[in-house]
Amino acid sequence: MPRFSPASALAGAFTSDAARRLPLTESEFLAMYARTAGPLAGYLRRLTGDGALAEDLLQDAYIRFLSVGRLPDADEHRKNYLFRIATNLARDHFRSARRRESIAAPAADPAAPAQADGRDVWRQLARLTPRDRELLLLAYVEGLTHQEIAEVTGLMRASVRPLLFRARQRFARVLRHAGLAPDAIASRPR
Amino acid sequence: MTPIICPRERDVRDAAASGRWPADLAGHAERCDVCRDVRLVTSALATTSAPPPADVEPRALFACARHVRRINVESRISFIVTLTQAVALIGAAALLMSWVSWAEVVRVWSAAPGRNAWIFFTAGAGLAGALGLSRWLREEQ
Repeated sequence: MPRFSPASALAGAFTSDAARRLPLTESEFLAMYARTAGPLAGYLRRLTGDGALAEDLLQDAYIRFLSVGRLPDADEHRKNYLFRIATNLARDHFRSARRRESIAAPAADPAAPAQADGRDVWRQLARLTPRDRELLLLAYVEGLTHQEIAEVTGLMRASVRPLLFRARQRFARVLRHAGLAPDAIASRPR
Repeated sequence: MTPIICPRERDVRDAAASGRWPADLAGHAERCDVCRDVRLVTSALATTSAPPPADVEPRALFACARHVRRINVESRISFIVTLTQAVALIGAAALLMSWVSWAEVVRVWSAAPGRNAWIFFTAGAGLAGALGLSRWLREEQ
């Protein structure tokens, strides 16, 4: 049985109304979830290389997104804000994983795509740093502009271009080194 | 020095993602260092398909977010209320002490038999009171 305390009773009286006021209504949230869950899940899955972890981070990201006091007005900004929260959660995970010395490698994902080339690319992607992966996925999978990438990653807009360039160069080098030449991938029908 | 941007980079990215290559763009992507990398990276990432989340129920997420928000707001307000209570308690104690005639207390005290025992008793009671108060404040938070 919960213990009565004047402080919590008073707090409850103050908050019962305020707590109900989330920044979105349920129907607005469901519509937004339908629009963003697929891309966000894909982003987190590629970023972490772990399906279960990506799903956990996805849920955390939505809960944190709804727990903030005020959201940006425009839909695109809301989406970028959600991606920013998810990116920060993934960074926290990588940081604590590094402390535990057990970083999850994307190649270890048992549910990775079945095609040989897909698996190879997942493996090569895992060799990059988390920041390189973030930049490449946001630019070349999500199709975000440099300004939007800056919003999501917290980098300065002017820094995005050179960092993205270097990440792209590194990944291209890794792919070529692994024998994943342009003709082997680019001309493959999807 | 290798250029780090190309004005056609975005077109190349879109073409690589969709798999539809206009003839001139394909030729450009072969010649341009930047676009060659863009094409390779975009095409490679396009092969890493990820299935949509299966076990997530958005309505449950919404309910959970509402609960989390309620807890957050409650704990913030609870802290303010507890702090106010502590300040009020200390103020009341200070008020009570201001009513005491300290000169009389010292006179009675110095004449009292077993004075040292009283000193220890008062110090112990004060310490216990302070510990109890701090523990109560911690619990309230």
